[in-house]
Amino acid sequence: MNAVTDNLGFLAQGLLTTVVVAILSFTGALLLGTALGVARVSAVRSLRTIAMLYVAIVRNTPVLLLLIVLVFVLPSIDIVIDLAPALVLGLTLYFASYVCEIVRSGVATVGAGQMEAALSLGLSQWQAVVRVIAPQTFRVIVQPLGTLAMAVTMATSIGAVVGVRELAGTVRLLNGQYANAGLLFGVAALLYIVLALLIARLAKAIENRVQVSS
Amino acid sequence: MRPAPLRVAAAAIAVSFALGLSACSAPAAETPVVEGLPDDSPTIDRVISAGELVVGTPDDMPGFNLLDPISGEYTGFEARLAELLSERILGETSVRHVAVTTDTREALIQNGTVDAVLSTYQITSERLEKIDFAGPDLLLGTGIVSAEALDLDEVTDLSELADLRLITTAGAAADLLTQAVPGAEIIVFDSVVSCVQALMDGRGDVFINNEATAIAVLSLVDGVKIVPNTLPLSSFGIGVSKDDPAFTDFVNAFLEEIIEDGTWAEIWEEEITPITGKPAPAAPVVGDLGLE
Amino acid sequence: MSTLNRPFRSRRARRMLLIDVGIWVAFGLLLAGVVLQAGRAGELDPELWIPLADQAIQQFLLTGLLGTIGAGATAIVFAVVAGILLAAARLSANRILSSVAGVVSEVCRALPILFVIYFLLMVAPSFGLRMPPFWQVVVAIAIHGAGAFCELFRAGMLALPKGQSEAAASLGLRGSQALRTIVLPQVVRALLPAMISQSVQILKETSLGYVVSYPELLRRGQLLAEHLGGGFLQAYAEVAVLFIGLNLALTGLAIWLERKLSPTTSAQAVGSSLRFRGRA
Repeated sequence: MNAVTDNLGFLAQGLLTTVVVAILSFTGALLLGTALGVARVSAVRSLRTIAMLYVAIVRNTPVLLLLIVLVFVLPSIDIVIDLAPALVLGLTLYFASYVCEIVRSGVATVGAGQMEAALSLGLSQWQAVVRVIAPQTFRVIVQPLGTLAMAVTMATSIGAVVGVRELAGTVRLLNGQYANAGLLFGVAALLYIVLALLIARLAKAIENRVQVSS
Repeated sequence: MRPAPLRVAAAAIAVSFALGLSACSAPAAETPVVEGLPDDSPTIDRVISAGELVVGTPDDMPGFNLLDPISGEYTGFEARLAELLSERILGETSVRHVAVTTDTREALIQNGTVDAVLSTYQITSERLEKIDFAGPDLLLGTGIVSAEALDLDEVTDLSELADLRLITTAGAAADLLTQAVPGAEIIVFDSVVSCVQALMDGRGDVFINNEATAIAVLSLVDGVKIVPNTLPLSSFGIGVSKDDPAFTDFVNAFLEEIIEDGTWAEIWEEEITPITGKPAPAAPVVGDLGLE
Repeated sequence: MSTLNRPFRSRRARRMLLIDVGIWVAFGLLLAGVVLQAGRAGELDPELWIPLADQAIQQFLLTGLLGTIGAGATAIVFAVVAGILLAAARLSANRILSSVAGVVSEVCRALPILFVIYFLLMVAPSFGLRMPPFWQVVVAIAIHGAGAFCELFRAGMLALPKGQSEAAASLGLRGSQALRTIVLPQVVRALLPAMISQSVQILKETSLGYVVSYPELLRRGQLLAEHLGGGFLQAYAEVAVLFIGLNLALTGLAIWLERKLSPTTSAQAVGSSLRFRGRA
């Protein structure tokens, strides 16, 4: 138990780093991913193609590879990004591609019919998007986004590979000292599960709030 | 349509199962050809029936355990020690390397996945609670590598590094630093190469590790230098199971033997001297684990 | 659009064309900038790229690729089978069974794969559970994948129009029989895109095998990069190309399969309702 009780501060810091990185990355992924999703369905052909290329490339590479490229390969062309920002950037770029697809599917589900109906009611294109399409899309994508938030949180555990002291990395360091793998990794696993459950709860709550009986 | 996919799936599972099982089948058992082995050591019995000595080592420590990924061969001081040890038990060299990291070393000894760990394994009292150390097999000083441009005086105490960003590999070096220099920013990577890369990219001011690795780094990249230091030597040992004192004694006896007959110094000259340029130092005193 | 008169249409079309061209030019400049930067840093020197042509090195990487495919394929098979069983259990009428299955699948999804691997590597053997790196990777990924596939199949089976299971019941088919002969084939056919997407995910997750030094593609790339000294970019460039190629091929296979198995109406309904849940 020493391994844990003597290092509560250390562990707490690791947990905090995990949470902060997860929140920042998820937010970034939401913003970039939505922009990509919009580009993906845009009328401008070049935007559609570029967004499609982005998604095709990023979705088909492991996130670890992306991170290694950002931290270890970019310096060889003279671009050096700090470690923690690189982790957030890597996770953002990676998960943005997933958000893009979720948004795209969400919009497709809401359907072209809604758009046409809105336009025929005299709403401008902008109004139609903001007042009709967007709210319905949001309602539909809450659940997949919740799953994605969980994935982002789990993915922060690869931060140790690039020297970021998040929860998994902290536990590894402590294990190097105390050699008590079962206890240390068990505690960390529990913390991750708790985080996952919290996110699931939050997603459910949001879903219930925006639900409209159909 | 229904039966066919099921059959294919079943066949796939069977095939992968067979492949998996064959991956863990051991080489043919051999009768011991060496005399005078202790008969109360489960580890030695296991080595003999498996026909190979399983050692946990890293892949990327130049001078100690360096794997050429293409040829699959290991070079280095501790790799050679492992070969000699296997020869001592089996009568011929038969070593299987299992990659270990600082996270996994103790667990792999405790659960019997490896017979011994040779990975510039620093002897600490916390580790002695979980496993045993044979040796020490090495005494090494601390190595500090910095960019050529950085101007640092000779370091006599780790606290002098408190204002710098320190890069190191996970493990004893990392927690030693965390304890000795609490205020410093310590950046930890998995492998020596990552650490060196980070140093070159300016992510840290110095890279700290054992002195032989530090010198090996010099041969990998340009633009770095060694910062001289008078920090005390650390003891490194061969990690073995706590539950097999006969094996611990056996390995200790083996180490004493090769130190006495000069083999230890010989291997040092072959593997480490080319890197450091210095002859073999005085051999460690087996049994003196270097702890207060 | 047909209500708009010609001059307006051509003006708008011209504007769109300009925007299009503008974006392509900007994109091209960005790419050129990156390439130039690489050139300036000496990364385009042939001597850094030539080692890649070495047969031994290619073999080294390709063994990694095979390792990825091997572990990935095995994990996919186990995850799918376990996922179907879990989903069936969750939808069963038996309350205890369905809640237990629910808990199991949630736990499977909430555990980071990395930690399951660590568990199998360090803790499990003390309980006598010993397995080679291949299986440590496969089991860890399959556990997580089972949870994901369970969710997939559950959503799929729920989305299947009620009429199907009612029709099956009216034909006198028992629960498991109805499942096997009527529900499952349609659900699988409709879920194919989502299943392939999850399978691609599993293939990528094999890269976590670096922890147990399982010889998969990313680990091999890492070792190669370290071995080549300065050759970080070159080694990883090839690794990236191989990964993208492998996964695109798999996705392409899925699209081809989907076209070949012309979907029935119910499968279409399942498919579209799944697309909206973001799983396809």
